[in-house]
Amino acid sequence: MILSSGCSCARRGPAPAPLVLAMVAGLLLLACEREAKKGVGLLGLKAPTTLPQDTIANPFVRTPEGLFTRTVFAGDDEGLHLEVRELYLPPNGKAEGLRWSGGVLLEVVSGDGRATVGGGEGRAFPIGSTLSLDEGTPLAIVADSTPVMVLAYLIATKRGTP
Amino acid sequence: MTAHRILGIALMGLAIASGACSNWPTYRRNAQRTGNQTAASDLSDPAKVPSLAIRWSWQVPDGPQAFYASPIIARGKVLVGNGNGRFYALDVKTGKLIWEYPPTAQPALTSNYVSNNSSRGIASSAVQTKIGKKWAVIFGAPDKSLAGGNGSGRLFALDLDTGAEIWKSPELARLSGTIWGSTAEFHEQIGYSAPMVMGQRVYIGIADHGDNPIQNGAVIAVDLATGTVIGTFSYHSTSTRGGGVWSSVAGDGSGVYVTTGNTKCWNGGCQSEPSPNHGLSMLRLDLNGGLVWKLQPVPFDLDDDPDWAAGPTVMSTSCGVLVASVMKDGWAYAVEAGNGTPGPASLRWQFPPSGVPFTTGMGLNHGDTDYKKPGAAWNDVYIVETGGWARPADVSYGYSRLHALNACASHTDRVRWILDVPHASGSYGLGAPVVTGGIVYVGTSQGYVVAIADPSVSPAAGWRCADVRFTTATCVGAGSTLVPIPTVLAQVAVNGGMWNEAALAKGRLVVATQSGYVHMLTP
Repeated sequence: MILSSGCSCARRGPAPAPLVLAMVAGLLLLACEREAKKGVGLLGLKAPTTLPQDTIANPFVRTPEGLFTRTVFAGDDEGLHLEVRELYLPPNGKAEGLRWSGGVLLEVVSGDGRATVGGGEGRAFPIGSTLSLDEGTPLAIVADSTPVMVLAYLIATKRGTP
Repeated sequence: MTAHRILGIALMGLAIASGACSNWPTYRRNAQRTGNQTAASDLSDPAKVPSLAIRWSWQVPDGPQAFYASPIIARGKVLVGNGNGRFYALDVKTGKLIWEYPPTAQPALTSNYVSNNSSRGIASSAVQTKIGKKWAVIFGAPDKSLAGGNGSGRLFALDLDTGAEIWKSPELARLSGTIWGSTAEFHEQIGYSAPMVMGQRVYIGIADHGDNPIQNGAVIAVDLATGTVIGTFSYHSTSTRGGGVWSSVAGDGSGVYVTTGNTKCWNGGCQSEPSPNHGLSMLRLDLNGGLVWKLQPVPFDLDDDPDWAAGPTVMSTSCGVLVASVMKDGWAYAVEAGNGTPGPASLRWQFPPSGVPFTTGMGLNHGDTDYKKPGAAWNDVYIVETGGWARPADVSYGYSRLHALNACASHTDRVRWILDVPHASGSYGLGAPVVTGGIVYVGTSQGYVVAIADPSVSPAAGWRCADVRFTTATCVGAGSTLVPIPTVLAQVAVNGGMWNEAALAKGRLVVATQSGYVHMLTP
């Protein structure tokens, strides 16, 4: 079927002699081959080893425990500090010795991993799962081959860490 | 047949083909909606683009309103409808008005029910085609001369050279009353949907007036020669209401590709899930309107109005034919077009890769946010305004930012480059990008035409993390990669912002702005 709009270089019409058809087709092809550069393949560029510091809004920061975190909401109400943080582990990443001052509810929103609470046995920590921890309870998280994103809902009387 | 005659026929074909290949005869330039001008010109020459400047300007003479439709360029004319309900043909070389429709003594094509910009005058971009021996232009618009007098929607086919009517379709989008939010009235409209010509048919999407309330989305096909409805083609999105076709359907000869809007709630009400429910979906239909495949990433329960406002883009890539688009919530998708055999959609990729379908446990929002512009397909490269990796945290992060995605690459290499487009701000910061030879053109909310060079065309201006939540210093450690920031070759101020697209033809770039101006630029 012929598309009646756009760059349809071949057009429907009465069937001419094969020779004419071949010539016209060849010339039309030539016309359409006068094309701008095509976007095929990867760029294959290599980034410089040193890059200037860039400024982006609210970037993740790497913590000593081995994960990346940033605060997406913080507020105080009746003596309580409420905070929502994103915790990010890259593929196969591991974070140990995580502790919070105050209670925390963790919710996996992407990726799958394993969590170890208080030095006990590890447990699956898949997307959609939640985990609540008391203040100071140590936690380790290991990501599988995909990144793990966890939302941490903190309630504390003072700003928590990490 | 003599050799001279053979040569004559061949040269005539060559001339026709050259024109067809270098024009911009429909929204996104072709039925595949690629937004890609494949013919080389000064606009694809990175050495010449920095001299891009306005060569002529024209403003709508009487009661100028914004241009919501995009201009097309065909047979030496710029053709575009205005929010004032009038359709204009200008000389592409001079900007001189050649004809307008309806003639000035006749009422404009407007609606009595205006709930958002899609209802203002002519929001539907046009398509050039041939009807019999005449070159024609077809667009959708409200028409108060239809029964009821409210401004139901229909298609108009005009003689491209004179503006004379060839045909008017029957009522296609019913507007049976103007009571705000009434569920007893039909509030359908053509709105932003641009007609698509394929074979001897014209296809058009039907949506609603600003979800007041949602209507049953549809695609209608009319006969190219007469404008009469093709009865053998039938597609409706649901059994009740919802799934509006806000965008411009695409086609590849054997398939009709559609994206659809929300189904669950509207201004003033909600419903239980209809059956079928093809809302919030990207679909391939057969030539009877039957479903071939459907991608519905956001299930009914999570439908908080993340319409699929951007239309589908049919990409002919080195890894096959893909159909790509972005939802209003900021996630982009590419599905294998397939061969027309009904079955499940074969999802090639989702960006960012969060998982399909979404589930409540992901804690993500799928609301009425503003990733509404279709992407441009430059062979294997899909250039689009998307939420990118930042989307789960802050929906606004991706506004006014273009991602170029490698459609055939592995997930690791998906992002080709990222640019925060200058002179753009807010949720409607950018129009739809178009591309020629790796140079991307996009209009901005602050009234600039910005030209951006793919790093394969012109050296990159810098680097940033593909995952825009990370700095260059933490990028690789976080498992992401550094990607180029492309060079901006030109940024030209025009009169008014742009939510629509530029048309590129034979080295000329034409834009139609929110201030009712049409500008022609060349390097």
